[in-house]
Amino acid sequence: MHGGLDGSSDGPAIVGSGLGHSFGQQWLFRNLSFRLVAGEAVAVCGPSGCGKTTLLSILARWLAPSEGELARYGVARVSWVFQNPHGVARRSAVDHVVYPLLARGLSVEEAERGASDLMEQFSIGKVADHPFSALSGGEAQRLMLARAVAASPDVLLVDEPTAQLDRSSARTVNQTMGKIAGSGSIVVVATHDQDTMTACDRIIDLQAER
Amino acid sequence: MRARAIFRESWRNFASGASGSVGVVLVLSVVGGVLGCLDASAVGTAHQEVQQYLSSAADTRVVISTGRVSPSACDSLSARADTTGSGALRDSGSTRLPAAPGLSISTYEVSAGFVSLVLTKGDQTGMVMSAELAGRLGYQTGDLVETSSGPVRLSGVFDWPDDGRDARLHYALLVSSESVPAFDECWARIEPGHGQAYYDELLSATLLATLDAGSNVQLGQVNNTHGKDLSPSALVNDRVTKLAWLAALLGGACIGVFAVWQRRLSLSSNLHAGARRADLLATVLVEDLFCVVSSGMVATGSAAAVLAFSPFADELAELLVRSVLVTGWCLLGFVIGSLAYAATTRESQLFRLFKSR
Repeated sequence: MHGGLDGSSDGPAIVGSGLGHSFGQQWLFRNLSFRLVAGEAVAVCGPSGCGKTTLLSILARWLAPSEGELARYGVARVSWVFQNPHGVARRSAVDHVVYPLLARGLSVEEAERGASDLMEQFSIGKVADHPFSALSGGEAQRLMLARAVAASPDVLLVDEPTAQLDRSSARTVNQTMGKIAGSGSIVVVATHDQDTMTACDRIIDLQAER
Repeated sequence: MRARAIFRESWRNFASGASGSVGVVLVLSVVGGVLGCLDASAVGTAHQEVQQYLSSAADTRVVISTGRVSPSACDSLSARADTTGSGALRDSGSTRLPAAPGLSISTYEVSAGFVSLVLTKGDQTGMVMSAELAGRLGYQTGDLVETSSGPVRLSGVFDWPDDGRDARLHYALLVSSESVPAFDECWARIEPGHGQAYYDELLSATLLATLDAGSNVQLGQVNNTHGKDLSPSALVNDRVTKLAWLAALLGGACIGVFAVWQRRLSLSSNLHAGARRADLLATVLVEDLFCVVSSGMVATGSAAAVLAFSPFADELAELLVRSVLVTGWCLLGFVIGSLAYAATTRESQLFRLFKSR
């Protein structure tokens, strides 16, 4: 599963070389090099303001690094799950998962069936018909993970997924991310939660790269 | 996305209110309906002004020149497409009827065409009298009126209200006469909006030629309280709400932009979830159509109710069409605005939008 340094592998891969990013004179991180391959869950850790979310933005190519190079191989779709779940308050939970499946070209029946399955996998089947606004923080976060997975991403970027969750919900979310990585995606999680770091295969510590 | 999937998403967004549909429909209905009603009312007011002008005989032009008006030339003016009636008149003094010997009644000899100017139905020959006079004497159309020269059948009774029009006929008897070679006045009801010079030229053509260079000729109107002239088309075209359609279009576009702007996070999230831009635009378009149909129904229904209880109720159908047209511009603007703004939505905006939330 693991690819070579040129990024060649059976699945998607991302190679960062000497990455750095600054806001004005202030460097968030410098000389950051890594290789991310399919099936791997990587935690990006460090204190608040060290550039965790910035690094995710660079991986998503929504932000260009101030220095260094980023190469992506076999990456067609990147999904991002934000720290605060964002959904449409009046739409049902399951509709949030149906949409990416419809966008992939599935029929309505196939998408609804697929969404139900995913909701069960993420242990939120019971709230499928609840409006998004009625979900708890943990349910909403898992729903956003299910929605991201429904889009069939090659890379899943998750920003502080357990920051606002109780211990039980956080454990479920961590297990879920492990499952997603196991399905062949690259999962990158920005976190300062020790349990989340433990659940990941590898850690990139931005504090050490300043 | 498949067509059915787009329809499903659009309907659920609309029905759940996720797209702000209730607010959008309400605002579109109010803006489109109010602008439509305002424009329809302005047109209705213009029509009323024209109607008042016509019904007060302000469109009846007069040339006065003692003993110089040709009855045949005057009567023949009504054959013109823009002239709905014409006739000649001359003062023949006063009459005393046996029924009211103490009452001196102004009497006028008129040409055959003149009666049609004041009397729209009934026999337009013989003797006619004003409604005021007939009421005073207790006569009705068809009654035999005793005169000094024997009984004469009353051919008709005409209304001649005291609304600023020539007061001489308010209390008068008109006797049709074919034997008078020349009258003093020619009256012609000419379609308004042609300009004074046109009326003067038309009426002056009814005057008999004379060698008397000093003969007095006066040109005027039967009722000048509503202005010298009036152009019905200009009244409608220059109405204060003539640009209501443009205001509706721009207003609708602003509503459309705002409707998409307030859900830009959700739309960029859908792009991020894998939707193509064409899918997004198609979904927004179908949602727009739901809003357009709903708003159109509410606005049209409201406009119909408002206009039905307005002073313009008798021309409801025509004014409602005007109102609906303006509402239509508003709805078109809404679709254009929402699609144009939706077309600018980018997946990459998601991060910025989310961070600024």
